[in-house]
Amino acid sequence: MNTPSYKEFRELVLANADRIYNHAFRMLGNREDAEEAVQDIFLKVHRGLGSFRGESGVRTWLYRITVNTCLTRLRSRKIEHLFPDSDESTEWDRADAFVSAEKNPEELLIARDNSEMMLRAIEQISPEEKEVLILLHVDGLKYEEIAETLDVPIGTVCARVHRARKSLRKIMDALHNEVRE
Amino acid sequence: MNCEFDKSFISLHADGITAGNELQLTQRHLAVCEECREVLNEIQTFGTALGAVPRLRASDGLIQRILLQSKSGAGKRRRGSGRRILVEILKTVADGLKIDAEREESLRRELPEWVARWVMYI
Repeated sequence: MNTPSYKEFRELVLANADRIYNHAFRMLGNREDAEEAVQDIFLKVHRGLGSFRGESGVRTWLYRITVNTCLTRLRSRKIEHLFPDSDESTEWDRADAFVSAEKNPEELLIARDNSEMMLRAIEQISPEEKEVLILLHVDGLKYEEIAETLDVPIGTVCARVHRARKSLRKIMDALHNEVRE
Repeated sequence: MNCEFDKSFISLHADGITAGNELQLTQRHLAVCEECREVLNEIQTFGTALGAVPRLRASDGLIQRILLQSKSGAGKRRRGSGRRILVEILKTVADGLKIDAEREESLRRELPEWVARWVMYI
């Protein structure tokens, strides 16, 4: 691929910005960091697009840049954001509106509580474990795609997912106990 | 937890990754082990809960900033090209000086000193 035209780059941004932003937000836990990361990611994409050889799909390549950028930011962070920022509630409302046709209000509340607790728990596991769970469950990537994105064998992905779930389970148990007390 | 069945099989089974013997082994075990069924149920609940978090959208402002940034990034590259051209010019001048130095040495060897110095100033 030669140096991308503005039009080509714009199309790439429009087609992928939501996906990348969503991933960055889930990894970094707040809007400001996520926006900075997304700008950084697309700058790298713009610089690298000309030399992109197409050995992997564009989506995998984008995720690879996203994962590396988010992990670097997360590792260099001094203070972890344990909870998503407050404007999240608006997004929950939108999501609730989306699924409310299928669920009654009580089910909706339980589902939302579970998801919120899950987000709190996932903030507390290691960045690598968090990454793999977000790629799997939030981004909906398959194991093969995750392996390609992280550039590791599929067996490593399996082991990492299993380990992440074990860590998550421990934290969820602790959170459930907190709620009961 | 008392059951010693490898829970990584349950994890893979939850994602539909197991196949062949592993699949049969896991299915047979799940049919008789309540503890592992609970683990499977929990993993599926985790997955559903994570999958249900709201999908966020990049704001128009963010997209505009990315596009503007790409334009200024291209600008920086052009400036970089200018710098590269300047470096090339300086290298050429330096090469010229090197030739002059060589030439000076050769002239010093072959000509009387006062003539060689005079030639260098031409």
